[in-house]
Amino acid sequence: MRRGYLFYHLAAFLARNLFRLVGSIEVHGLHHVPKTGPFLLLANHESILDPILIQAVCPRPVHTMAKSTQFASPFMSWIMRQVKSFPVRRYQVDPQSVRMVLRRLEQGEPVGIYPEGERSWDGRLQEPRRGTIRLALRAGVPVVPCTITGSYEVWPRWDRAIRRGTVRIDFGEPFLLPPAHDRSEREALLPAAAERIMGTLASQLEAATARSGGRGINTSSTPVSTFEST
Amino acid sequence: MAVPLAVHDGEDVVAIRDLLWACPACRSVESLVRSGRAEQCASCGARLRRGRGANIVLEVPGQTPVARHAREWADLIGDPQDGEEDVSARVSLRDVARSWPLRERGELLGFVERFGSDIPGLLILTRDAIRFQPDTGPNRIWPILDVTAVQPASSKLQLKVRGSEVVTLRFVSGSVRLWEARIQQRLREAWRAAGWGEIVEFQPRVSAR
Repeated sequence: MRRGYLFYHLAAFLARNLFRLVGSIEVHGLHHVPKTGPFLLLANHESILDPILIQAVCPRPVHTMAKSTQFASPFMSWIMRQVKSFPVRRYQVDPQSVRMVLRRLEQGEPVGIYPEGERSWDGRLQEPRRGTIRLALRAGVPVVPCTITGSYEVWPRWDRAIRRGTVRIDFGEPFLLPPAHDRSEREALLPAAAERIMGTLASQLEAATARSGGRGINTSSTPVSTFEST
Repeated sequence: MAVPLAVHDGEDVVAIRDLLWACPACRSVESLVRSGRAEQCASCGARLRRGRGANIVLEVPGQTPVARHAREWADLIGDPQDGEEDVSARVSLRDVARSWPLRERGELLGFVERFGSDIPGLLILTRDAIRFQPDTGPNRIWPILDVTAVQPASSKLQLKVRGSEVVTLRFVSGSVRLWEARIQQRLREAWRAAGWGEIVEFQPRVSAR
């Protein structure tokens, strides 16, 4: 185990097992996650559970951007740093968070970002933040599309209670965005890149929902206790 | 079975009214008030509570309860609309009390802020300004064209105004989603009127094509 990652793996283990108290996690497409080298993990965001569960099941430790207020208390700040999160101030352009993403990628690490920038109120995929798309173009590393379904049924943004349910996480096939050498090229490629990323997430979500038998995911009150990887 | 993670009659709580800015039964705007673990329309008496998964159950007195997915209720009431008139809501405002660089083993990870104590007051949105009238202390007036970001955060709204630190607003009984839409709409109109173009993004910075 790599130095500095003991707590991360412990937290991932705990998250996977504690979630069994309220449901189950189905994971698909783990073979799409690159075994070495940097990549950007771009995921939809429908619940506060998403980053915890995605990091818990991803076979490689993922560094993630998280809103700066989550680091406000010393205890939470320590936890967040142990699970390899770094802060972003979402209400202003935050060049340090961009530097952090690029630095981690240069170090060969995966970085996870939620291109929608915030949780969805109604569970639907939202418009991406243009800054994230610019960053993906600038990074020039493989993009791994990741979708999570069912977490909205378990813990939606408008409630503070967890309900039983199955969460499904799909890692899609990595793809590369066209190379952009400078800012003007990035701006020109922005709409197509946004379409590519969000279109991939949308179709992956649609497929996952269809496989789960319709809207959302099974929210049966019967506890399920599988942790299935395919 | 539900695992309650917060006391629902607490102050800082997300609510169905944040999603449903109007009562699905009578369409009254911002009429939902907390009633135990449910919310009740002050206008028609209908109750809304969470059902299975992300379902919301509507209970209208004298009628059979109707359970629908949150998304369907949201579609039914449509997107929040803003009128021309001035609107107001009770809020708790918090200023940034402290911000600092966050480091890990000497490496700068980013910048973090902590918000101070609640300042209760009235938030008033007019065509060209956002005004905060605290219960005690001087008023604050932010010209709408000085707003540089509108960012929802959990059940709060963060506002960044040119030349000031960010403030966070918690709506005591209003819908954060409705207020986000209202402020965005006023910004759109103000930007158009000023010839600054069509706004395409409100975070991290209000920007136009």
